[in-house]
Amino acid sequence: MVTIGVVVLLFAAYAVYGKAWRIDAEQHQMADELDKRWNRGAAADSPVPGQPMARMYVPRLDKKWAVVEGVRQADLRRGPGHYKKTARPGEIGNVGIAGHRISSVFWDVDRLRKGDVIVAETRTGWFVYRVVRQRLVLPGQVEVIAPNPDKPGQPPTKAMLTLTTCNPKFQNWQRLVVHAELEREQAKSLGRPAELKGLQ
Amino acid sequence: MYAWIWRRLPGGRAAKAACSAVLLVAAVLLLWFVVFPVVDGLLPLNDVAVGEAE
Repeated sequence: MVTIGVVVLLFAAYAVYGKAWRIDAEQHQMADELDKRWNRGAAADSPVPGQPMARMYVPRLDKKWAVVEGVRQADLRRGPGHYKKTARPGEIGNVGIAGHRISSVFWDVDRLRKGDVIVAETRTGWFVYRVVRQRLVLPGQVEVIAPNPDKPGQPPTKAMLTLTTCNPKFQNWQRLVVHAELEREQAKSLGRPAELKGLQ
Repeated sequence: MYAWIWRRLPGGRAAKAACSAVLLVAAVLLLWFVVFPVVDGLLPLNDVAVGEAE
């Protein structure tokens, strides 16, 4: 009995820390891979499933990630994943990004408030989004990543970005959703956006 | 179970202790790097996407 208890505790430690470390390690690789792809130029602009496609920064949470293409479990083991059929950063429509609710990914996403900055970086530009709202939905509510999440079924009019993760923490019966709207974009030649000041 | 393992280990007390430590570390590593990742994939902790992930 004691043995079983110890193993269960060890598994809890794995779920909280082990997975976070693994994703951190994968993120280092993904970051390098992304630099390599961007150095190759425009040829690297069509995303490959399981490979990094953009960077995302959230100054409020002091986080940045290499976002992987796809939301299969194999993709999400490497970091936040981009829903393949959704828009890409900067486009009119809705960029959908899913991530695990663990410390190295979207653990604290519930702390994002209206007006908080989310920056996406692609090979060609910076895209500064601001959070417009947060909500809890059921797992089947795919309209949150529809091109026009305010009026699903209607054509999109704005460039939006939506984060999804599980809620409550370590459970799966809801999804926590954060919508953000594109505020402005900035050319790579102008350097990092001022909104990222203080973030590594 | 542990008493049985202890009796089966060779050598004196020090050798048995060393062997036990090695076995313990091996068991933990096996769980952490092999068993837990598999179990984790079977549990519903990882559903973060809406709709069907594809």
